Amino acid sequence: MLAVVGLLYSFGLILAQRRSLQTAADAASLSGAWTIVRELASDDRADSSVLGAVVQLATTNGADQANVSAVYVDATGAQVSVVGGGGTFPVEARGVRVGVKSQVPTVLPAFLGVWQVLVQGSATAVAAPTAAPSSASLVLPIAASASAYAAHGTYDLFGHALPAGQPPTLNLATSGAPSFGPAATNEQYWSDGQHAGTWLLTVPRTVGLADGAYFDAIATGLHDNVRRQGLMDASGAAYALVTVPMYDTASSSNVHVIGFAQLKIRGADITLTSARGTFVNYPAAAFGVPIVPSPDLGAVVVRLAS
Amino acid sequence: MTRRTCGQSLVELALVAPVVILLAMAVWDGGSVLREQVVLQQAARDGARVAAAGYGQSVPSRTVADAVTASAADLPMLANTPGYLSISYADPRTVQVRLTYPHTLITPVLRQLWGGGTVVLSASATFYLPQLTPVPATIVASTPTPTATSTPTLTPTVVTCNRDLTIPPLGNDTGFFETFQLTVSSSITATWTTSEAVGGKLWLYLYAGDPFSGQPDPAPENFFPSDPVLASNSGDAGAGVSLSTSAESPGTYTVYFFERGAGMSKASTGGLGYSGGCS
Repeated sequence: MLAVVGLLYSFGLILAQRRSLQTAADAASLSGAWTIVRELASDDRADSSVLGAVVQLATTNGADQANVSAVYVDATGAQVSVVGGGGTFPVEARGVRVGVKSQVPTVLPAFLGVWQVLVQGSATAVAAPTAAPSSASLVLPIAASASAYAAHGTYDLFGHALPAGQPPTLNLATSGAPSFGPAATNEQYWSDGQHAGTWLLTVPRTVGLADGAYFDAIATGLHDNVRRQGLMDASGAAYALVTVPMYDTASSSNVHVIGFAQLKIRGADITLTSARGTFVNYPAAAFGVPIVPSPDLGAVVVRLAS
Repeated sequence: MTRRTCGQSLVELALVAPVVILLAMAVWDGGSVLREQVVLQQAARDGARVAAAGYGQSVPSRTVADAVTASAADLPMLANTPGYLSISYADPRTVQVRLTYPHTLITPVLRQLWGGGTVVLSASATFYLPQLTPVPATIVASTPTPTATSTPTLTPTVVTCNRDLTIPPLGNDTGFFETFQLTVSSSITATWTTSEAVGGKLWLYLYAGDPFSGQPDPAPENFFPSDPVLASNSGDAGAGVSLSTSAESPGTYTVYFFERGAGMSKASTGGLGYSGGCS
């Protein structure tokens, strides 16, 4: 009878421990996936940051650091490499699979003949692709072709004219953006990451073109934007993350904006004739639904895959 | 069975029954505690997930509490327990939800033995607090309105071209022509001055296109293209002559510096001005 009682108690302890380990795995994997998104946005891709995030959340939730393991997975959940290898993680990594384990001592081991039971929990969190948000604030007044988007591809905002030959500089006032004076002043203020305030550009929408390139004005605003954001990457370079309207079709007087991409642009890469940056992934929306976006503009939603 | 053995069984039962009953009660209460601990742990986990879903905004405690009570539906008294829910932000990137729940032992005997009969259960879960937009990490507090120096100049695609031309010596009733490209819509100005005492008059003619194609420069005596003149003006040698038009469309234009009279033995100075860059 005592053996039966011991068995029941042990079973209960195992269930409770398993529940606790699952919480630790869930929290650690989500933390790892969010850290990956952050590291992708800065383009640093530091493995140490991901490892630190996973371990911190696992141990905070009661797991033993020595019993925590994690691997990088891609957007489909396939394993890419091991977390903790040092250096930078692979560019295709979009999430982590975390495993935690613990030895649970049994009650009345002499009766059961088993002194402890190995309990494990695992979880996979992934930043899955999703549709770009339908509205965004503080968007740049210069558009890029959606077909030009490539994850972690470099792009020069000033280096791609529209098919008809005009510069892709937008007159956001045609879409309701606040105006501050002459066109050049507007272009500068719309680029500095502050003056547009809470105004949102909602898409899909046809946005009129400006009457000139105004690259000097935009460059001035972008430099101010870099200063305001105060971000610095692993190389010590100051940079800004800016939201770029992406168009699918264009005419000689307007472009049809269908979504937004985010560009990491370093202050050192902004001149009057060039504004070269790197397209990066970005979290799109709370409680978003993972889909196969068309086109893919880098928006992701972080979720527990298993 | 004799009365003697029956009595022995009764005595044995009387000795064993309390132990068996006590064990059964312990199993019942112990199992109940473990079950509630699992439910509480799951509720803490679900609450922490909701608390971490503010994406930069703190989630109202009421919302977290609703998630907890929904998850812990098997613990109906949880929501009525004072101080059962604690939400804390240990650092900017994590949120912790802690639950406490007093479990009252079911069996009166164990309740007496336990002393008070209440087992306080607790569970906590800590989750990462993501930011929906990872930027800006820090907004520089002083964001001055750009000063006049940072006010942008006019778009760099529109620049003004001012060209100085040297008009060679001209014979009787001959002229020098200059062809140029207008890349943007712009007015055109032309000037011509000379320090030489010229008996005749200085004339400026503006043509669209290149009507002097194939002609030597200076042009032959009294050569005038058959194309219409867009604008013209004349002046005396001492005062010089100038010409200015309203906005002309982008394209090719030719200015004809024509001297009507006895000719000019020295070189003179001409000028052209228009927007869109020199070409």
